[in-house]
This record gives sequence, C-alpha cells and structure tokens, in this order.
Amino acid sequence: MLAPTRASFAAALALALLSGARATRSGAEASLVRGCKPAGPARIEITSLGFARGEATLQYSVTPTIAAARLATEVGAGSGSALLSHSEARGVDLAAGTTLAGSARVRLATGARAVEVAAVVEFAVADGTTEVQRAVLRLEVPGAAPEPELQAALSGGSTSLEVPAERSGGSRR
Amino acid sequence: MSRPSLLAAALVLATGAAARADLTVAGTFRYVDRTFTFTGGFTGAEPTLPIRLATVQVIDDATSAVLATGATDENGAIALAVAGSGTKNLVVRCFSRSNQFGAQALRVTSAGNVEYSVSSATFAGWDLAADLDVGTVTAQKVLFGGFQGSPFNMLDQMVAGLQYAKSLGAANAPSSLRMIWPGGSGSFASGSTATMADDDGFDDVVQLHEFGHVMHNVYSDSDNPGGSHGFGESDQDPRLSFGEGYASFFAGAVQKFRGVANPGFYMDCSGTGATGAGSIQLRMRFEDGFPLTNTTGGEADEGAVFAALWDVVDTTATNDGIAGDDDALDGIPFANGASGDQVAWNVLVGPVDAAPNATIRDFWNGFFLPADAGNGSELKAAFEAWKMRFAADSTEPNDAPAAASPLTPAAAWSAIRTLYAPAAGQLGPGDGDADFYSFVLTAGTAFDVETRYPNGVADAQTYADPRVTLLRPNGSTFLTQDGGGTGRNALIAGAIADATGTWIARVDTASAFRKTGSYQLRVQVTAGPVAGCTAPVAASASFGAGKAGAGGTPTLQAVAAPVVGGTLTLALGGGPANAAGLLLVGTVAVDLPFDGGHLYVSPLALLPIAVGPSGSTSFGVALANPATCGLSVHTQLLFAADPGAAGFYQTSQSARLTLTFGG
Repeated sequence: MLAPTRASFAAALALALLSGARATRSGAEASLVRGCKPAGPARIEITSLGFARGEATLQYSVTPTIAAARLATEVGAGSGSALLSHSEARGVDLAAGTTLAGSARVRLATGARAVEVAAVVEFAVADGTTEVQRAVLRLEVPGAAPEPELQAALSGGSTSLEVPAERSGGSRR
Repeated sequence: MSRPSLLAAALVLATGAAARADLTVAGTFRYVDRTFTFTGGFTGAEPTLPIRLATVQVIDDATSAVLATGATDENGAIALAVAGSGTKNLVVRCFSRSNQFGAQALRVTSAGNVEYSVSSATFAGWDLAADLDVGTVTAQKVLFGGFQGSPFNMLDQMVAGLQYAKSLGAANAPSSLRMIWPGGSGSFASGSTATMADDDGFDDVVQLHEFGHVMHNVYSDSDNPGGSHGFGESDQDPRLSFGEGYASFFAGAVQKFRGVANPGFYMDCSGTGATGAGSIQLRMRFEDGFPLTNTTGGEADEGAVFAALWDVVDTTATNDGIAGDDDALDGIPFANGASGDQVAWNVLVGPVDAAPNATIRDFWNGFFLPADAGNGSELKAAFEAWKMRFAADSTEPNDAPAAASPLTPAAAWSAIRTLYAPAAGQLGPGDGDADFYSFVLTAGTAFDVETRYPNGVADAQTYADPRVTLLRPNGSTFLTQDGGGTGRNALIAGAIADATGTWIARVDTASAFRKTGSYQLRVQVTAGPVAGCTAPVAASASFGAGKAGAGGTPTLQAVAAPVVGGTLTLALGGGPANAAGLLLVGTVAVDLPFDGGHLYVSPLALLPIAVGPSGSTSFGVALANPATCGLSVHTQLLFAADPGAAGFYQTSQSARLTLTFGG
C-alpha cells in the first residue's frame, strides 16, 4: 500500500471530483434548502459574464444592505491572475438599497478555479467607530481542472480521502 | 508503551467474535485547528486538537482486512483489542465519521460522498503478540482550490452539537447526519445534510450554524423558506429570521457548552489562510449586537432572534465579550430548576415542531404553553430589548368598541402599540389581539387613517401586518383596508365621513404567520366640512308605490349615503329590457294622477335614461359643496311604452325618492 500522503489525498479528491460528483445544487435540491449562512452586508449580482481566451469579462452590481459610509469592490482570480481593467463600483454615504454598477476584465492564470467579486463595506457603529465587512461572490471558471498537484497524482485511489498526517511517538521495532 | 485506560478500553468494538484479543493497539489522533477571535479573526495560531469519538479501524495493510473497529475517546485516544497471531502489516486509520451516537452516523464527506481519513504509519511485520502504540497521528490542514479546511474539525462541530442536544435529553439522531466539504461557493443546509463552502473549512461558527439548521430539521420542523439573508435586515420573512436566528443561536449555545473561551458571537472569516482582522468577512456579537446594534430589532430580524435567545442561556459568568450580563435572566433557573438551554431545547422540539409557519412568536409562545417555563417577566424584558414586543401595550384592554382608546385626529402618531393581549394575569400567549380606537368626526369630514412601523423606520423592525377597519357611529362597517400604506401597513386615504359621531378604528391582522407585532396609528382630518353645511349627509325618503311594467316596478335608490362634497350614485332598476326612460328631477313634490299611476315630481329637468338587458343602470352626480347644502331633491323614474304596463301611455313608474341635504 502506498503511504498516505498529501499526493494520495489529492489523487483521491481529484477522482471524486472528476467522477462528476462535484456538489452542484440541482433545482430539486435547491428547492429543499432550508437554510444558508448569512451573507455579508451587500448583495452582488452578475449582470453579464463571459469566459474566453483565458480572460473573464464581467459586469456586476453591488447593493449594500445596510447604510454604508464607504463601499469599494475588489475583483480577483487568485495567484497568477491579473486584473486587466476594472470600472469599480464604489461610493460613500450610501443608503441601504443603493445599487452601484461596475465591470472588470481579468486575465486568468492557468488552472484558475474562480473569479471572486468582493464588496468591502465600511459602516458606522453606534460606539463611534467604523466596521469593515465583506460580501464575496465566487464565480467558478467553467471547466476548471483540479489543481496541477491533483492532476499529477491521479494514480491513487481509496475508499476514503486520505488527509496528510504528521506522526510522532509510538512503538518502535 | 502506554497502557490503555479502562475507559478507553470500554470503547473498543472488536471484530471477530470468537477470536481472542492478543494485542491492544493504542495511540492518539489529533487534527490541526485554526484559532480565531472576535476581534482578530484567524490569529495564526494552529493548535492541534483531539479527534473525538471518531471511528477507527486497525487494518492489515497487506490484505486491507479490517482487524478491529473502535473509536477515539474524548481525548482522541484509542485502545483497540485485536485478535490473532503471527505477524501482520498494521495500519490504524481514523475516519471523519462517528458511530458513537446510536445506529446513525455523523459523517463528513466530500461532495462525492467519500469520507476522509488519516492514518498511522504502517507497522510492517508486527508480531501480534506485542501491544502496539501508533503514537500521535495529527491530521494536517487540507488544501483545496486555495482554501484550507479540516474534515476532522467539521466532525468535531457535529460531535459537539449532538452532545449538546443529548445533554438536554435528546435521543440519538433518527438519521445519519452529514457535512460536506468542499462544497463550492456557498454554505447551506438541507434536511440532514450541511454543505460547507470551500471558504468555510475552519469557520467553526459557520459550520455550527449550518449544523444548527440540520438539528432544527431533524429534531423539530423548520419552515424557513430559505434564500439570501444577512445581518442588519429587520424586514425579512419572519420564518427565515427564526430559522436563521435559531441556527446562529445554536452555534453560540454549543460553543458555550463546549467551553470555548468566548462563545458569544457569529463570525465568518476568509478561508484562504489569511490572518488578522483583515480575515474577518462578517461578524456580530450576540450580547449587544455589535456592530449592528442600532439596526437590529424585531421579529423579522435574524440578529434580534439570536440575540434574544442568547439572553435565555447566557449568564453573568459567560465570557461573551461583554462584562456581566445585559438581561435579568442571568442563569436563574426556570420552572422545575431547568436551565435556559433546557427550556430553549424543549421549546424547539415541542411547540415549534408542532407550529405551522413557525416564527419567533411560536418560540415565545412555547415559553408558556403547554407549560409555563417561568421567568416570564425576565423573558419579556429580554425580547423587548430587541424590539420583539410580546407584551400588551398601555392601552389594553381595548379589545371592543365599548373599550376603545380615545384618539384625537392629528398629524402626530400614537405611541408604539402591539397586537398582543394575553389573558389577564398572563404574559403569553397573546395572539389574536384587536385594538379599538375611538375618534369624533363630523359628517362630510375628509380624513385619513393609517398605520406605520414603529418610529417609521424604513426597515420595519417588526413583522407586523396591520389591517384597519373603520366603523361608523352606528357600528356598521365603513371600510376595511389591509394594505395600501408603506410596506405592509394599512392606509385609508381620502375617506369622507358619512355620519357625525364617534367613529371606531379597529386594528388587527389577517396574516397567517405575522400574528403579532408593533405599529403606530394616526387619524388625520384632511378637509373639514364646509361651514354652514352642518348636515351634509343626505336624508333619504321614498313616497308612493309606483306602477309595474314588464320589468316589475321601477326602482330608484341612492347607493350609500350621499354626502355633500362627494358623489351621489343613483341605481335605477325594474325597467323593461333595453328601454329608454325618463328621470324626473325637481325641487317640488307633487302627487298627481297620471296614466293609471302617479306623477310625484314637478320636474325641473327630464334626464333621458337608457337601461340594458337587465332593465337597470346607475350613474353618478357630483354634489357641489356648499351649493347642494339645504336642498331637497325629488326624483322619479318613468318608462313609457312599457309593454308590460297598463295605461294609455303604458308607463311604468317608480316611487318618489327624496334626498334632503341638511344645512
């Protein structure tokens, strides 16, 4: 048996993913969802999205759900990707429900899995301070392959996904 | 080599019933955790914690045969008896599964339903006559798509959550409970499964929030319609507010139960490995609602729900970021010595389970029915602090016209009122309240009646859905309005009083699940009756019997009481089908024989009337103010050449209708 390693875990994980078992909420399943985690203090909606020639082009809107002293928007796609242009949705002293629009173009690094749009909302707190919280929308890149390290380790396989371990002490022969 | 304790040995489930136990396999399984605080997000500290109550197998690595199955104890330790002889290549594997809660397992899996595991080194050629200590095996962080997580951390949240419930008397779960990671871009729960976003691999509170949904689903019944939601929103669907608020409360209660340093907050951090305050994406403290204190409140605000429920279980000794306690419950026992946690759980699995469209109101009612849990006054204060006003207002009892609260028509709003009226001497439940208010109007007065959310806030801070019914001085219904105002509020605009005297506004609700709530009311006079027209509502009188025709005896009547300044609507009927008639209008009444009947009006005007197949029609006439004041107007309807009428002209004739506008 191969020693359990991060690579074997990665391989098993990749197999699970490539088997098509990736969690995607079908319409039927979504209709059964009875709860989800609280969202950050802004709603982000994608009004236009395209992936072509290694780039992602998107238009979005951001609506703070609480009164915002300042709102900024960040767009990124992880390490190695580059933000080519960004007409940022940003503003100050925004009432809850105010919608701002923005657009961005991102060059995707090889293996990029997702583009993230983050609304950074700064708002006043009763004690006179300000608070910064974030709402994040993650857009998975269509057809994104598992990380290279997962692809390279497809020879593994197990009835469980082996997590890498550190071991100490115990019996010695 | 360490020897297993008796307690640990008791956990052993050896396979092979007839085999003898020749060696004991010991060891400890732990996992790498990430520490976070309310103020600092992920701190960067990564202590190892025991993998508790997880399923463990001793495996022959050469054949994959399972030689023994058992579980870790609370310290992550194992002591498994293995039967056999000779030598084998032994490996011990710990799974992200617990079978220590009855027949149904707790499982953490990938989206493909594959459990995780962490394994000891392989001890090749081990002599089964000698005990084996595999040492400490520490599951490292799992990296996926730029995010970090640990299935064993998630298993620990599930174990803690179920232990909390069982400490309150819950049975083992009736079905397997599952947590999925990595689950994509969002964390959510459905039925007995919680799915954790790629980003939430070490967000204990988020994991417990989703597990709270699962526990709500499995041990009670959630009516949460789902959908996007967030903090600082006080006009949510109240069924969602309750479901989400309970899930966050559950997270805090479990954190308190397990003794974490500060259990009193919700927090969602970046799962990329970032540390420091910048890793915080979303947070809110249970005790004071920081940083959204001022924008949190009402029955349709998940933050208000979890903050109030937190007050039920926290005490002065709870280290929740606030010194002392901000409520009077303070750990005082409820009825029969029950703890706040016990009462909250009993309400969840009892009254809330049975309630359709459950909201926080059903939880509140559960404090009183089927049995009074006690501490009602303290609970009332704790809930009122979060603008959930389950209490009679100062105008109660005003539940009937005779007990109506006087209200002076004005631009100012009433104080905040509640649609809540428990029985005398009780604090709850108090559904079904109807509040009656009285005010004096002169007929002809134009006026508005409306409700608003407390203090007129745009975001409601109440789940109320008020309905207003206006009653005339004689008790008859003038108008009912269930909407028309801001949000769910009622607005009756531009009404004209058709009677002088004491009017009644009744406020209640027709909503199926917004059965209580808070509101303010006002009655505003927008135009008073014109001076000199002291009785602008017409008195109506008829005279004579009329004369029948093909459609019966023609009729003539005013629709509703006509009012000077308003519109007179006359309804005409009883004529022959598709006929042309004449409406006689005058100010002088007569009674003259005519065509076998009677002419009752000396006409100043003859209005041609056309009726349809039914022989009827209606039309409206504006009643000028004050020109109409003081007039008595006489009318009569005639149809000539009515094939069903006798007489030379074959006229069918109505009685006389007289409208007198005082003045």
